[in-house]
Amino acid sequence: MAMRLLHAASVQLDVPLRGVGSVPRDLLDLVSTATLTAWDRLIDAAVTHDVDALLLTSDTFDAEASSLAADVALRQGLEKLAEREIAVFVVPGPRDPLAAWQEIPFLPENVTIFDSPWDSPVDLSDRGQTKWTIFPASSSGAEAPSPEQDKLRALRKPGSNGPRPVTVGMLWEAEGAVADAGAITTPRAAALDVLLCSDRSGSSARPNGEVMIRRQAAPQGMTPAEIGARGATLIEADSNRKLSARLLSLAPIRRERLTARLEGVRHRDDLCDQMLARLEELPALPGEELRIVEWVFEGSSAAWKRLDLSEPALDEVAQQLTELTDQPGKLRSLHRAAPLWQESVDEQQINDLWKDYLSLYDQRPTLDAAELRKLAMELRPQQAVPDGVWERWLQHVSPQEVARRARGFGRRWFAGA
Amino acid sequence: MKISGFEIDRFGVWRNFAQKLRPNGLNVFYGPNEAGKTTLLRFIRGVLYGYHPDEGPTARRSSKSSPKSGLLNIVHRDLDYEIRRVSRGDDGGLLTVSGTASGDSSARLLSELVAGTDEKLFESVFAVGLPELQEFATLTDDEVARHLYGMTLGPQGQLLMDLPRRMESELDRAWPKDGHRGRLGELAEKHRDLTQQMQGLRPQRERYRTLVRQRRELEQRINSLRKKSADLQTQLRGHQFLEKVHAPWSRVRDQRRELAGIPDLRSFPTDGLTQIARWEADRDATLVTRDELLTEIKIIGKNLQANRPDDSIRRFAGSIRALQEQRAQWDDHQQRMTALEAQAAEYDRELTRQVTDIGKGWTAARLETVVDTPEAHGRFVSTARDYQAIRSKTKRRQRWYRKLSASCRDRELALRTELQHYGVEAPSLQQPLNLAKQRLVQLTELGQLQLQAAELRQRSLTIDDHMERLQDRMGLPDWVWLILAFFVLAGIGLFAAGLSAGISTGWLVGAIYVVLALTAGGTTWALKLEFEAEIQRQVAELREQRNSQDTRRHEIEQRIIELVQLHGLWDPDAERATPIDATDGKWVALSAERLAQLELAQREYQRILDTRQRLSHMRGRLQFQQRELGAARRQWCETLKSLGYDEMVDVNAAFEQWQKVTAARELRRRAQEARREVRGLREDWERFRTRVEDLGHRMRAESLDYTKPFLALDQWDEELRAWITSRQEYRRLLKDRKARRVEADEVQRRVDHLQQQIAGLLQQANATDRADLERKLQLHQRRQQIEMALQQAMRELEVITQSEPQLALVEDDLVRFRPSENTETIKRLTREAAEAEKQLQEQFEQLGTVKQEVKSLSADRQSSKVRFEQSQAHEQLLDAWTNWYATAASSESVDLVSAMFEQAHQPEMLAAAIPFVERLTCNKYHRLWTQLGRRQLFVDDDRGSPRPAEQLSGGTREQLFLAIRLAMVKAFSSHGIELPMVLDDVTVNFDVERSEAAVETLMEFAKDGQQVLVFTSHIHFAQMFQKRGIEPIWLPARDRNGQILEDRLAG
Repeated sequence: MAMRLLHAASVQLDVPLRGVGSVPRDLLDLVSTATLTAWDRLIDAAVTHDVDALLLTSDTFDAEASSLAADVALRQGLEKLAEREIAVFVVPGPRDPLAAWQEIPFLPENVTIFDSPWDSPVDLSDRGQTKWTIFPASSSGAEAPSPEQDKLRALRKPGSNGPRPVTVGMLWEAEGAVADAGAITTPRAAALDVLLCSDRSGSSARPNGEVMIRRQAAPQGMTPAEIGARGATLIEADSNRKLSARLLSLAPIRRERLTARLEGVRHRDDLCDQMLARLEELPALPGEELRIVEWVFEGSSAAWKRLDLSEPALDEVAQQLTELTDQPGKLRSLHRAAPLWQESVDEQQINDLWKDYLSLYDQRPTLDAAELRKLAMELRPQQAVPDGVWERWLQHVSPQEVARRARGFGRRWFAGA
Repeated sequence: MKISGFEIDRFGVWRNFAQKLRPNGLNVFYGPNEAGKTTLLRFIRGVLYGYHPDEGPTARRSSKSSPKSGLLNIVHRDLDYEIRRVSRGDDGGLLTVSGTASGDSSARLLSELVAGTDEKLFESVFAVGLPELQEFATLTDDEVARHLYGMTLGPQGQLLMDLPRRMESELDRAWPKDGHRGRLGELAEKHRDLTQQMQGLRPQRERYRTLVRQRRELEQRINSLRKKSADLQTQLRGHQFLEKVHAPWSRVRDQRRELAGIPDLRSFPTDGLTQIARWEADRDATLVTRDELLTEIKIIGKNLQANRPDDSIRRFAGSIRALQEQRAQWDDHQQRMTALEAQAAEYDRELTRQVTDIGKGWTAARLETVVDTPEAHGRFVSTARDYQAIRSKTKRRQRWYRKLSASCRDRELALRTELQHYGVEAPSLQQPLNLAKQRLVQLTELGQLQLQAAELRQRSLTIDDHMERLQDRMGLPDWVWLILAFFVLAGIGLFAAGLSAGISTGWLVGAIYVVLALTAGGTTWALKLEFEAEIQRQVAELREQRNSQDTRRHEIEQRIIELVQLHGLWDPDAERATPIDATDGKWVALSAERLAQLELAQREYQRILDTRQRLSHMRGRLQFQQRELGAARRQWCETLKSLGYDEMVDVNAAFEQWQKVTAARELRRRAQEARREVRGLREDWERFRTRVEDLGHRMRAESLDYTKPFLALDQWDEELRAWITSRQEYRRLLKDRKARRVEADEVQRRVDHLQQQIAGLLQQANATDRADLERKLQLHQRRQQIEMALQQAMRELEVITQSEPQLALVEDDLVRFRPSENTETIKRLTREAAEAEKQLQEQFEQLGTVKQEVKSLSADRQSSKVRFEQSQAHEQLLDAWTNWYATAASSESVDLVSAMFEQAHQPEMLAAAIPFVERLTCNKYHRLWTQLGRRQLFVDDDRGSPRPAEQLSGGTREQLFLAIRLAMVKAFSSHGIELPMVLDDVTVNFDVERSEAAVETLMEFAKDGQQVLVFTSHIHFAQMFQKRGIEPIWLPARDRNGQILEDRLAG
């Protein structure tokens, strides 16, 4: 009797990918529907692997976005699973709170949405035998007393009646919850065989040594930092209830962040060759249709100067690489140069003005929103009127990011000196 | 350059004014207000850089400018120059320098004299008045500021100077100060548009959810209506059932009632035999019927066996229907693919045509090898331009060479022709020339000798004539004789008079007359003697002269003969050997003409030789040029080759090929794009086809041609339809067989029943035989009839009951049954059922509409695209804002870096100005500095407090700016730019102490030889110089009309 679960987290249906940069028109459809494609593949995978249940932890969609496509895809996917009698368990997250799930009209019967961290466990049975016991788990100390507690504890006792079900906890990560998988100390945690959560949920500490914690990343890399193979985890239990897990690659768009070393490179063509060689080393992933590679360049000031690399020059190199590797009709590729201000600086190898700049910049007070407002009003006294557009956008601007970028601008201003 | 003096013909108030100046050191001019000091300053500037039409009070008063004219005496590198500029008044003036022609050469010389400085620099640094000194802006003009601020900054300083501008430019580009939109504005607008689009799409989700709710509600309503309809149908069936049942039930009830009234004569059947006979007949007939039914069942069984449908297609029905539903889409897909293929083929044909048109050896594959990057285009164009330039240059030189060569050849030919005319060969021109020269000399000498001889001969004749005349006369000239006669007569007269007077008057008077008479007589005698001796002497001299001339003439004639004989100077026209008569110049002229011609020819020959030499040089250069051309051609060809084009020297052809190749590449790209799309479509098609094929394999339909999936689909569709039809037929047959089996069983039961009835009747009748039976049965005939009727009614009732197995017979209902009421009820229920059906239909229609809209919304992914674009715009905008704030924040640190840098890298000029500042401000200020790139000056006072220059008092600021100018003049001087410094009343705001300091500073400044012209209207200031031994130049005072007050010099 096969026992399989499929776990996905942060599906973020129809949430746009971030940090993609400009996208050619012919790739726009692919990029804009990447999360939907990943979702379709997730549903297909659940059907193909004949899983007992699909477990969705947090941020399956973005409630604030009110996306039609997300609603449609979610419904179609869940209905398809309902046709195959595959159960679906959902733990809401910060972006898809419980209320948002409850607003969705007439979800199929196979969908179980846990409405609190101490919601009752649900058993999944087959031919009269309980295979899985699934329930939400929270790292918050408060846990409502429930009759299931004893049952769960009993399940953990070895040698209880017959083969016991595998207990699966889904970490409650909804807004207000402390999403730390390692901090679960509630009695319910004692019953856990495996704890499922998203990859942003806190430390890597384990609540106890026996619990397998599966931190699942989004099936589609949403930001430049979310690189490599992405998908969902297929959890299998053998006849002895021994668990194993493997990642099913689902993402249509693969994001990578690669480093090109400038030392020893004499010409931009050599640099291009080196970058191509780095690309060759990347193993192919099933299902990948587009690679978006962000390149980070490392090298001494001398190397930068020798190659005369400015931001436009790096963009040219990336463009050249895109032209070399993009295969319309097959695997598509887009290459981007990481902004220069992101590059790390070896202060031993930079010129005096740059050093002075970094030194003086580090001495300045920490930037905050008030400081940014002051800057705008000082530099643009005519335009920076109260309640202007600038002020609305100021709320979105992160002072820490501004500070980081301003420090990094040392390269822009002084690298050529 | 130094000014040693100036002369003003006319300039402003000055007329015919001249002044010498000390070229080295100080020149102090004193003049009261309106004495013309500033006019002098403008005059100097005007002569050096051109007059300005609006200069001069006259010009200001009248619309027409007055003429201006004057000169400066200049000493430059120990040479004297005179710079004169004359203007009609409305122009800069015509320049003349030291007699050179006006125009470029003078302008060049003047530019050299002023060391290339422009008027702005001169006006801002060297020749300043109080207004220029007071205005800081004069130090911030680009040229001056470049010298003042930018001389020693180096690349880092330059970078720091440029950075604020660059940062401001970046900030401004994103968020312009002037209220324009900028990048942030553009992005915000784009974001706003996309947000609006998103807002427009947002209701779609709610619509979708509403539709889902509606769908669910409709489905529920349909279920409810179905249930209601079913209930109504059930009721209707019940009432219809009652209607059907009531009649047989009534009969049964009546017959049972009747039967109850008849004694039970079962054991005594009255019509036993008849009944038996009938039963037997019935039985036999029933057996026949049964056999027929069994036969039919067998036939149906066979038919079923034969028509058993192949259910294998059943499990693929869903897949087939799904594929069939997609057929239209794939049909379009195929058509699109075909169209694209046709397009690609068309592109290929066009490409082939264009490739053929490009030239031989061109193939589509070769197009790929062509380098088509912007760099390659740039290299192509630049190489073509270079090659074209060298080619044009070479051709030009070749043309020039050919032209010169042809000209040289023509000239040489003409020369040779001319020389042939003179009987001279060109290469031996020197010898004939020498001969001609010698002949000319000989002829000249001959002519001179002949002339001399003739002259001598003439002279001899003249002397002869003279001697002849002297000898004829041998006495005094007539006039002498007349004089002598006069004297004789006078002596006689006087002697007579003396005698008379001696007698009459006195002896003394007579004696005087006698003496006078004797004197006249003596004089006469003496003269006679003297004249006669002279004539004789003359005759002797003439004779001697004649002799010497004869001798000389003889010598000359001998020389002539020698000359003639030696050089063959014979007259060619004479019949006999006669020497040439060279006295009339004809032969000399002829010879001179020949010599001149030969000399001209020689010069021409020399020029030809020079030309040949030039041609030789040109050939060398041409060869070099040819080599360069060859190299350029190779370079061009290599470039063409490296870029993948045909090697050709014709640039235009290459450009044409380049254009064709570019067009062909574009076409090829389009074709590739089309093919790529076709590939994509084909892959999609292939997936579809594979799906069909997979389905076929799963269906084990291996024989089908899956390259044409539509055919397979059609076939399967047909099979599916056939299967459905056969399945229906099969079911019908099954049903039929079942019905017949039921009927056969019924018939069998009936046979059995008849058999049992016969046996039962006999048993019932307890009859021993048939006769007994007949007898007994007759007794119960009536009862049997009733019972039969009852049974018939019961059967009828049973049949009716069996036809509605779900309905049960309720005795009370049948008892209460009223036909009319029941009919009404049936009508009502039928009506209600129809109404429910109609509603159901409407709900179905609504459900269809909702489903269609849901499907339409589900297929719409436009919102995802818009959302993504909006997210991108949001990211870009946030990034731009973050960049803006980061740039703004980093600009503060850049300013600090600049401040540190400016502390360590103050301009050299400001450092040089500090000693002057200290001296001019009597050590009040010690440090002069500027902010990097700001062009703003600061001074630190004796307490070290920095103060911006513009916040200083007027006098101190003027001292500061004077110090800077002194430093600049000194710096310029050290760089070889020596110009006189002219200061016009710049110390008017200085107090006495600082005026003294200024005098000392200027004297010290001029000590090294720098010429300084100081104009002042303050007598005390002039006297300060006077006290120190520098005598001011006192300018004349003027009245209100500008007229000089002759009786009064200034001061």
